Amino acid sequence: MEAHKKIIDFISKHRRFYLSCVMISIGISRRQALQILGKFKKEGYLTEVKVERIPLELNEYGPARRNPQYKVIKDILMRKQKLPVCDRDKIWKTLRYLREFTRSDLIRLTGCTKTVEDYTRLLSRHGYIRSLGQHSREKIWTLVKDIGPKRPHIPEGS
Amino acid sequence: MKKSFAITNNVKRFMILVNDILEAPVGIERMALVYGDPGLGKTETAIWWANTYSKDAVFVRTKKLMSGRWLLEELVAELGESPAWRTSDLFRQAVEALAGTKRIVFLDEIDYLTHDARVIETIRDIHDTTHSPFIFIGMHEADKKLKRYRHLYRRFSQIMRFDPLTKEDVVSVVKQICEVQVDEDAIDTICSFGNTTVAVLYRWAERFERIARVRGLDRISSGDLDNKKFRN
Repeated sequence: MEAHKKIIDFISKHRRFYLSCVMISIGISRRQALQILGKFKKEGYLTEVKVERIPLELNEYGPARRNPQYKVIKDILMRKQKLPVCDRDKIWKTLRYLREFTRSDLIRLTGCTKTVEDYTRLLSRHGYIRSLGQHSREKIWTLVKDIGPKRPHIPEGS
Repeated sequence: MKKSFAITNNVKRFMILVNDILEAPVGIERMALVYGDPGLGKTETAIWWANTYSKDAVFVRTKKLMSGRWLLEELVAELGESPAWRTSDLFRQAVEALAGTKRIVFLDEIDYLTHDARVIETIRDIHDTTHSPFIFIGMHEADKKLKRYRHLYRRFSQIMRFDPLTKEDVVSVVKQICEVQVDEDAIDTICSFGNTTVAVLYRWAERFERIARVRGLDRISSGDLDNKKFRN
């Protein structure tokens, strides 16, 4: 966690930087730096602009190590720290576990009522879930695009 | 039909088990096994518990072909980390994310992993290193399959079998989910069919309400049920 904070602090002061700069200025291993920067890249805060190679040192073997250059594309300080769990989080988590579900299943298991209808409609419109058919009067839905434990970001009113 | 989660005796026992695991003092293992016949609501109970009482519970559904690396990768991803490439790093990531927290990990369909000692022992390693609560959810003979791994089995401080629903459970569930009143003789009719699970009761509640709507009834008795038609 300490390394996380230091890297966020480093990124907030630079617009472009190399992996090696992060390693040297913070004093963490290459692997750890790559993991954390990879996470930020996946979350959409960074992008890789070019990749250089670090020449091997004496007694080092294998291919030359990558030294990617990153560009900041979104303010890292805007990154939200663990927000309280909301209805949409619960619904996304539950539908990922169930894979096939009806709206009643989601209401029963999450305890959310109105949000279920609105959110499933939004997810369906954005292609995350699809209707498989009907069971009595209810639609059966299936998850078609699983993007991981964090729910997809769908702007309100889209 | 009321869209609420039905509380049965099994659910109450499950809640006590999870509380005991979470409150276990240092020195008492925090592993538990929950198993039982299909359709009794083990997985749904775990999901409902996670949604109601825990903000950061992790739920991993195991797969038949799962290897140790695959399991670690899924666990790390569910813990909100970006999975590393090396297995050793994955293990370290899982330990770092779990150590010192009360994040509860549910492993569903644990029977699938019983064929591979390395996978099972990896879970034991993570538990021993982090002392995090792990709850295994398995099928009806999961306890027998896991007994082969004596070091793991010894760590189960709680073992719970999801029992088939009793008549008392059926009455309670129907009362909780059905919007029309159901007479006791109708309940007896349901029970006489055998194989009464929570999933079956949800279907029955739907039928009761349909019959009540079509025939304009406010109570359902066994006379309103055409046994041959409704037999499962």
